Amino acid sequence: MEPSRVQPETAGAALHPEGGAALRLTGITKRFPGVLANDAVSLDVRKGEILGLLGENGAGKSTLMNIVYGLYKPDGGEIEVNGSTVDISSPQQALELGIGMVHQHFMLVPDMTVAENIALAPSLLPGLSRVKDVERDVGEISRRFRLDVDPGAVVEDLTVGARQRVEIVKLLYRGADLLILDEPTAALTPTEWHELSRFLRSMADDGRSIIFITHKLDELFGLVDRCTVLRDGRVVDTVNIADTDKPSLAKMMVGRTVTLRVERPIVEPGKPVLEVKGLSVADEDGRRMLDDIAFQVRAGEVFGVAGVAGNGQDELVQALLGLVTTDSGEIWLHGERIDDCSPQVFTAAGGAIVPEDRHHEGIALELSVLDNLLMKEYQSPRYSKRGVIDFNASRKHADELIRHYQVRTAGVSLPARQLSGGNQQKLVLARELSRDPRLVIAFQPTRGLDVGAIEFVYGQLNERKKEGTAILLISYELDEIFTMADRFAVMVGGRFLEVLEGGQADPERVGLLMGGAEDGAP
Amino acid sequence: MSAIATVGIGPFDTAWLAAALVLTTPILLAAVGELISERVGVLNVGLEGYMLAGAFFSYYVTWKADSLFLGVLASVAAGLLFAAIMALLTVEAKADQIVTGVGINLAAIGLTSYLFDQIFGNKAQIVVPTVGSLSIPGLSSIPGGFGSALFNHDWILYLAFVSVFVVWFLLYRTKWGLAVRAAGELPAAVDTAGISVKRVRWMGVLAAGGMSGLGGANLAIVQVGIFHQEMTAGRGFLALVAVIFGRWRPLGVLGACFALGGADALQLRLADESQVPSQVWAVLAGIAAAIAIYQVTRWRQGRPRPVAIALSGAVALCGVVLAAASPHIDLPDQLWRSLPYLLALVVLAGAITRAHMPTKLTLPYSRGEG
Repeated sequence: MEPSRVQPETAGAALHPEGGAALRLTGITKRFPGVLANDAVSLDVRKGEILGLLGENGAGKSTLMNIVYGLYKPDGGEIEVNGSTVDISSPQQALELGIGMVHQHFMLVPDMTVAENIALAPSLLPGLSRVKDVERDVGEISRRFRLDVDPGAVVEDLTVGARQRVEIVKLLYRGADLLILDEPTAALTPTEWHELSRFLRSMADDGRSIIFITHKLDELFGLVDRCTVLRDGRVVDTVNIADTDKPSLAKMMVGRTVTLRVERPIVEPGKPVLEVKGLSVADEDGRRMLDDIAFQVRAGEVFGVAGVAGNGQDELVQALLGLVTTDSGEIWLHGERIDDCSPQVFTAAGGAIVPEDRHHEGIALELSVLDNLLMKEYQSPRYSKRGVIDFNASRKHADELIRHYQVRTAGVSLPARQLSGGNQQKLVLARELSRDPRLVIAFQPTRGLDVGAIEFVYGQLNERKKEGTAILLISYELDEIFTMADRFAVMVGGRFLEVLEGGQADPERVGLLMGGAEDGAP
Repeated sequence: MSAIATVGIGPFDTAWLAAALVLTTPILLAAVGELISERVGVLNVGLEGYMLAGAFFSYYVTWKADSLFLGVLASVAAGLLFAAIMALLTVEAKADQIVTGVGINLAAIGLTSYLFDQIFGNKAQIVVPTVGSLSIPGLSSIPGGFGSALFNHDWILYLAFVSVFVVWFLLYRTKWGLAVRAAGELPAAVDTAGISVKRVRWMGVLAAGGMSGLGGANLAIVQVGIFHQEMTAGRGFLALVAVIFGRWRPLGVLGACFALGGADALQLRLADESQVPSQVWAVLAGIAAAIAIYQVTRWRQGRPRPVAIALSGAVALCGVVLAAASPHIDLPDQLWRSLPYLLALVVLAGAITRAHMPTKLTLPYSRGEG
């Protein structure tokens, strides 16, 4: 196994290597009803190499890797592992071939321990699980590879970063030498991301091959050797990372030129719109989820809340909307006290919400685009008379919104389910922002969106800001906070650690704060 | 179980204990099977139907083949058959589990009633032989009546109680158990580990069917030796309740089943009394107080359930007052009969801690949908 880091002058050869390919896909095609998810995709990964697989959501990256992992059956094409053609029809076969995958959503059972999760393996007879033996082996692997994993810990008590390490240990325990990581960085702190990328490089240097799936350009540089770009299920190109740059990769991925930098408009903030004082909330078991939170969001200001998921962000949003009972504290929206009220009061006082989970809270998937757009206004006399909806007026309104917010849909009567993720989010924005709100809560507003849609969301939020709307941006993506927020707080364990100015904070230090270091020192 | 050999307080004597064990058995068998099934993510509303089918076919085959052993086998086979229909529809065809389960119940009632009518309709009630007692040497001669109350029963009863511990071992100490527990929580994790989710779920549903069928045999050819229409009388539903109150854990399910069986036995004991003996109130007060104390210690550990404490505390207080006053209450017969069940529910509701239902219970699994 010779180390085969690609040199710039061998770029052509790297695209058609003589040998040493750990995995080679030729002409893989996969059709779903109505969609061609993969169209004659060919790529290869060499031993000791990290290959980036870049593409927007829906470009077919995950489908392709699920084929390699035996979860989907391809309609055409050939898979070669270590030079011989194979037929992978189940994950079990993939595992036997040494292929391991870290899925986008972790495949860890929350109420089982780390060792129990790793011990989950096929067996014909109800053999003993020997969790103690697995615990010992896992401990050994985590020491050898310097991955901090406690084999006896229950998964639901672990942070996202720790779960990630468990997934990797699981692959190593199963003896994988081709590692596929599907968007592994969601909700990692910067420190955890550095650790992960260092670890992946050392794995590659050991002769393992790695496929790193992402739609974030920043992650590729400094990590991968080559990068295959997918768009609409087809391979656009495979390039050496040393020979390319961000703008050209972005163009390949999206198919047009995109601006990656969003200018933060400078607006003189006005009066406070949202005021939160000493807010505390406990869950059903009496645990404090929010602990003495206090902040203000002023008109024409984006106030950010940075932090790792599960540190009280959900509870904060629920408290603001009036969905949970507060223990103490006050919430004032535009001079009206709204704590322990209801979402109706919140909306009536001029509040709007772009929720984190648009499928469950943002839109009703089975209802039409029109119904979704009208959902918060159907009672207004403009759209209904004596309880009967004025169809013409609401249709006209919906058509206008669709045009203004560039929602791509074949018609307003189509169910929202049929829209792409980006267009569903535009639907939410259209409904929420068009009501001229005084406050917009944007909770992970770009979650799962691709570059083009992210650009649009930021643009719309900044538009509102210029018109004097107060914006509360809650995000797990530190980049997002740095791009958008004028001021932001770091949230850890239900508390605001510190409020920082958007332009001046040091990302490293904020990352450490998010990770729980009290003063931001390592 | 002679009257001479009984010891205990009031109605809670060794005769009650023996009856409680007998009445717990059919519910326990069904509940243990259902526990496995719910852990893999399939809810069997048709549990009652499996039991009923088991009861009828055990009776029929015992009569026809004149063999108790074949009768028992037939009950298991009947339960498995109905469960296979359930699995085919819900695991393979991804039909709604609740609707399918209701359909299975109706089908079982219809089928067993029809067959019973066709085969036995014009005959006088035939009593088939019943599975005899198997007294365990040594243990069955424990003095004070406990030996005969605990260790002088049929083998199906022993099997039911032993199965609790066998299932505990399977769930928590074997690879199969890992797959079972994961299949109801995150089936995608099972799938990506190279294990067939369908196979695991099939096994769970079949476990529920086979064990419920055996529970039905226990009713028909152990306890009475006859069959009558809809003779399961809601025991399948009690088993479903027991799995929930037992918090999806074997020992919890055992406790819940015993509470229900014990209440049933108490009801039988009280049937010929005109007044609730003060001991019943005393025992109720004792149990409620124990629960209250247990919940208070849990509060200390940061898991308060103030409502449970208030409820059990209040029940304990009422129990003490009633035990002291021992009032004469004339209740309508039906209310009188339901009283022990109400008490059992209060006990179970108070003892329950935060339950964790299998996350994917009733949800079908498809690749690519998490």
